[in-house]
Amino acid sequence: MLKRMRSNERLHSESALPMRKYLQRSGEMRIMRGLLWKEWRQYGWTFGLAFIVISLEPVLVPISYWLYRVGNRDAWSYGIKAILAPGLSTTETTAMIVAVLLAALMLAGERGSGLNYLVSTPVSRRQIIAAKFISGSLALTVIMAAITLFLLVAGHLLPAQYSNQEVLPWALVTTAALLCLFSLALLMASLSRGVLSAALFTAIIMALPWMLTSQILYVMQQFYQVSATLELKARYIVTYLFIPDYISRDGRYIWDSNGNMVIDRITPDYPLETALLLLAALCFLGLAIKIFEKNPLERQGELLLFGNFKQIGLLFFSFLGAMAWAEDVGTSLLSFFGYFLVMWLGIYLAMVLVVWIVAWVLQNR
Amino acid sequence: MDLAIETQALSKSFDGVKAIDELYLAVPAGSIFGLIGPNGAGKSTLIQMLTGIIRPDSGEGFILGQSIREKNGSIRNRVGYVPDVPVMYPGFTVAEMYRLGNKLYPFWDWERCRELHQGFHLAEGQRIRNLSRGQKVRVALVMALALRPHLLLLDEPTAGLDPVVRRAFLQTIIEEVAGQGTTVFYSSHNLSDLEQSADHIATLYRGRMLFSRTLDELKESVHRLQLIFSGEPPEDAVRSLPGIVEWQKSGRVMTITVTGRLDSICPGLALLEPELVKELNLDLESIFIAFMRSEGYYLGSEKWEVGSEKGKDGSAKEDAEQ
Amino acid sequence: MWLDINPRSSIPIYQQMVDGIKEAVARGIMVPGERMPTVRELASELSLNPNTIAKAYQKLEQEGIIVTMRSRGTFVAGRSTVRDREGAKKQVAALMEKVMVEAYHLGLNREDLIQLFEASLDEWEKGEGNNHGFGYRDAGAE
Repeated sequence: MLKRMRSNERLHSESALPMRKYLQRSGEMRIMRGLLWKEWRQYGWTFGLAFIVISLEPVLVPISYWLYRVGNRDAWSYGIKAILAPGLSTTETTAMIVAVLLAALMLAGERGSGLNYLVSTPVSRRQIIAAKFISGSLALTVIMAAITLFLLVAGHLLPAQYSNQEVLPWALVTTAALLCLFSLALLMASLSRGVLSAALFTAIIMALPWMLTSQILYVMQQFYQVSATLELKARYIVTYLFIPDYISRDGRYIWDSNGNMVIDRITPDYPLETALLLLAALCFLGLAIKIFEKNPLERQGELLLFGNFKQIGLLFFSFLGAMAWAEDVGTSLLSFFGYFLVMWLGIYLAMVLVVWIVAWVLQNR
Repeated sequence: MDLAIETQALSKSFDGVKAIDELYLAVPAGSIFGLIGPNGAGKSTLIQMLTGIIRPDSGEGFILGQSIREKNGSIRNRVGYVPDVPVMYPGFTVAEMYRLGNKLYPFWDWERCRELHQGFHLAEGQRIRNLSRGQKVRVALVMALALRPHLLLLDEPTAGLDPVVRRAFLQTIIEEVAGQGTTVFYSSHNLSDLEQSADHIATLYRGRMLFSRTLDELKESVHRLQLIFSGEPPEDAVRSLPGIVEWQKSGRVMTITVTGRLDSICPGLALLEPELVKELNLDLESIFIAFMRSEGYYLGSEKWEVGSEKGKDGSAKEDAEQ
Repeated sequence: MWLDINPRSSIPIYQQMVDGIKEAVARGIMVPGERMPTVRELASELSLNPNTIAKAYQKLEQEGIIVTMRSRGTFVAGRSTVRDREGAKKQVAALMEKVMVEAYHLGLNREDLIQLFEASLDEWEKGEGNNHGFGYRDAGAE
């Protein structure tokens, strides 16, 4: 009778298990090498551009100083000093944006073209994401390493406004933070449809702990007496959840709701923070793999999960609006919740209706 | 007999609409299996589920004996796929696509690749985005064959191709099957291509299988006959003929399409006492159209009465584009 | 090969091949001992499905028209002595019946039919100048 074409393959695997495992592994290696080659071929220019953009301030500008012999002998290092100092410099902000955009481009940007081809090859989805993670991380690491090397060598050879001691910790933490951002963005890209929505989601998720905590504390203070220590603790924890705080190395300044600076600046525990960031990066990667495996490329690459950017936007704005309204109107925590839920639903439905009417009008012009 | 493809109660819905509805399919190894159906019937969806681009909602599917739900990519080591609109990597050159194929597929054969590439008159240095659709299909086919497949999945591969390329395409497929025993599963609107090359035909309509059998069986089991009567043709008697698909009356002539073997139909026909019985030629396209008509899917003004309850007055229903 | 297959005919392709080859052998276009193309060669030449061609070859072999010799190929068989005369007669009688049904519906009578049959016989025996007569021929060499 009809039977599936599998008996042969099974027989072979049973008797030659170790051999088969070896072949499989070497096959996997081959595929990963192939995927990495593809990523490089596809995004090599993008990586180069990223390098130029990120190293503008720390490398290219100093070089131009040397070429044109401008200013004092150590004038070239003013910009670098600013970067290495606590606080977010333009370079660091740029680097963060580049990391996020890179991930969004590498994954969400490939939907509907290369990804559709890849998924029909002997490549597993896990391998696809892993390859993107590896090549993107490698690129970012190499970029940072090159900048670091330049800073160290230049700082060693020429008089500079910064000391080489400052460079390594900065490099370590910043690289780790960029990798963490990169994999967060990869995670978001595995959920969303386009490059911009992926980038936007990443920004929102990145700021979410901070926004939520602030909102919750603010609301709670309307109805309860929140102790100062509790507030401090909450905000303190949140700074560990906010990636830019790692890069800015402001230590852990905390502002309470009265605008007073409360905790003194502390020197970051670099090894701990670096480890935290890398751990988070791996977690995001794991999640990205899981989601990408589950999520199908329906209809030429459109995604069903977060496909409707409009809906998410409506939900989000109605959420904010409802919260603001309920804060004003609520008298107790319970009534606040009540008002909040009702308002959220109401505002959301109203917005949906408005959008629908607008679309109908435009259609029937 | 080994099955290169098998599905059991495979289902998939989009936005609440069933694109594939409890599909049972069996494709024997080494066959050229043609899948036909109107636009929106679910052909592309089915093929995309088999290649792993889309995940099924429920049911099971197997290609080359392995489940399509398998996360490991190695089940596709021996499966070549040519989509209806091959996209690949627009920035890559043709040569770079081949290189990628070589890296991803363990059984890639450069000799075969070169041979086919030259046979199809392709240029190595051209970028994918600058190729015409016909050229992209050819590149995709070269890649699908160079990996030394056991199974080829083709989604409307010859749509929009000029006759010269189409012929070369078919020729290559046939040689592949004849020489390597590859199974070819291919969906097409070009029924004359299928008529020539396929040994099995399955029809999909609204995500369901209308029928699936060998082309020979199909031809031997559907007949179009012209019956000439001396008086008024007995419509009621014709309506109740076993296996009647559709009929058309024109004066004293009734043209009927009926399923079943000719020798088992004849006694029934004799009872109607026609003056003359003539068998008309039915090609695959006409068979397909007749079946579609009986399902209620037809456009145009040909007046045919349909044998079953469904679609009695033949209202035109055009399914949405896939 | 000179086979004229019409894929769009109601007659399945394998049947057309079987009929075509049988006719060719009967007319002497193909002679016993002549090598038949392989399934693969024919599939490639005619752009037809190899399984279909294999099916036709199978049927032809069943009917004794061709013979396959392992590792040597497929050849046209010689016309063998009729082993099962009765069975063969039944087969031809069935074919004749079909012709008669057709003729009946077309309104021909017995005289017409006999006339037609004899004319065909004459035509056949004339053909190509070879002795295609319906007398016994030597059983062709295998």
